Amino acid sequence: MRAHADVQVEPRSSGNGRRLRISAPPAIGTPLAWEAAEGHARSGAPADLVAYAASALAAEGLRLKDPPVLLRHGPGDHGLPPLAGGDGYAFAIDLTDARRTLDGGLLLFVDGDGRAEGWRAEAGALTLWRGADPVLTEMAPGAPQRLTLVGRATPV
Amino acid sequence: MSPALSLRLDPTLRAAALRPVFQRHRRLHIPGILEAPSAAALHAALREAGGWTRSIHLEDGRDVDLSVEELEALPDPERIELERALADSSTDRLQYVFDTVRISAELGAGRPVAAPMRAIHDFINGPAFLGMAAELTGDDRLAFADVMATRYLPGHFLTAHGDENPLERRLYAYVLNLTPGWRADWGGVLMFLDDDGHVAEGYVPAYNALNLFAVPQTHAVSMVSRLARTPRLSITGWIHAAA
Repeated sequence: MRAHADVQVEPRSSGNGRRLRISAPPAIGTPLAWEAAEGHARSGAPADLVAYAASALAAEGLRLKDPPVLLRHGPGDHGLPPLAGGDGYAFAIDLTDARRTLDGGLLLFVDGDGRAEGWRAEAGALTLWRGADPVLTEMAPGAPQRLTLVGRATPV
Repeated sequence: MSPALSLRLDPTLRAAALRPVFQRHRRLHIPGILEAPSAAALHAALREAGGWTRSIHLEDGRDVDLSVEELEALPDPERIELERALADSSTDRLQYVFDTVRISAELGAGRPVAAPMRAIHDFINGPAFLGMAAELTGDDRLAFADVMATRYLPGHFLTAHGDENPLERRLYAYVLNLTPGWRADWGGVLMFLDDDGHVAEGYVPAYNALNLFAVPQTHAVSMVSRLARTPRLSITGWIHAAA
């Protein structure tokens, strides 16, 4: 909780982030063409992962706005491409698990006052948000690789 | 109080007004805790402080304090290998790595400490700070606080723990962050974790903000990123009941 002087601030939700458990992700069967990006590697998503994301979003009354992108974060990597904006939604679907918080790769929603809330990676977790993108924190040395499917969505 | 470093709480702080929030949630983040000149002076004192040790806690319970000056004097290959091993989270052995000046421990052992460090210790143990904490928590058992300065550099972290130590009668933990201009993507976030290891709430280390929380609560400090352009400096410790 955050407070100052006579101002009291009650707990808030993390603002724009919402976490949902969905079905286990399909295995990635095809070789991927990874490209270096700012702080991570990225690739187009195979068709079965696109269908997986579309199905998860449909259950929330959303559809893909454009093709999702697969991200790979290894030790020392961090960050997300710009996703939010306009009146749509952005999403991240974890395809791998983090063993523990210390591994990094946390999706942290930070408000303007520096208050954070978020999640470690869990395969089959969908994070949806509107507004400012979360921070994906730097992966610790020795941490297992994090694979994440990210994209934008719009109401059906 | 050392004349070299005069510290004062922000006089507009109304701790009693915050008590209901603290009692409901057992933790509180209070921005602007010190008067601006006090915060600036304390930040300068920490930035210029010497005598840092690299504190490492192993899962088998051993604490290792290494002189930072000695570490930096190691030949590059040896130092780099040591730092790589310390930062490797693929082992579960490490519980924390950060730099510290254990002010209370040094004073308790009768060793000399720099005047600004002594002043910080006296301020945290003085009636203004402990009185504020008692008023805020509504707890009249607060007797004394131990105090250490901490410096997190890139790769430093503190893994999840609850601070319990029945022998020491810890009641509350505090962290007074003193680095101006810290960014969320630099890490170093004080994180309170839920049972699933997710971040129920976290505080980006804001300059001149006090985080106070009841013991025990599972918390961690996320690894400071290589992106961080400045050390994460803070004064931290526990407030104890009388023995």
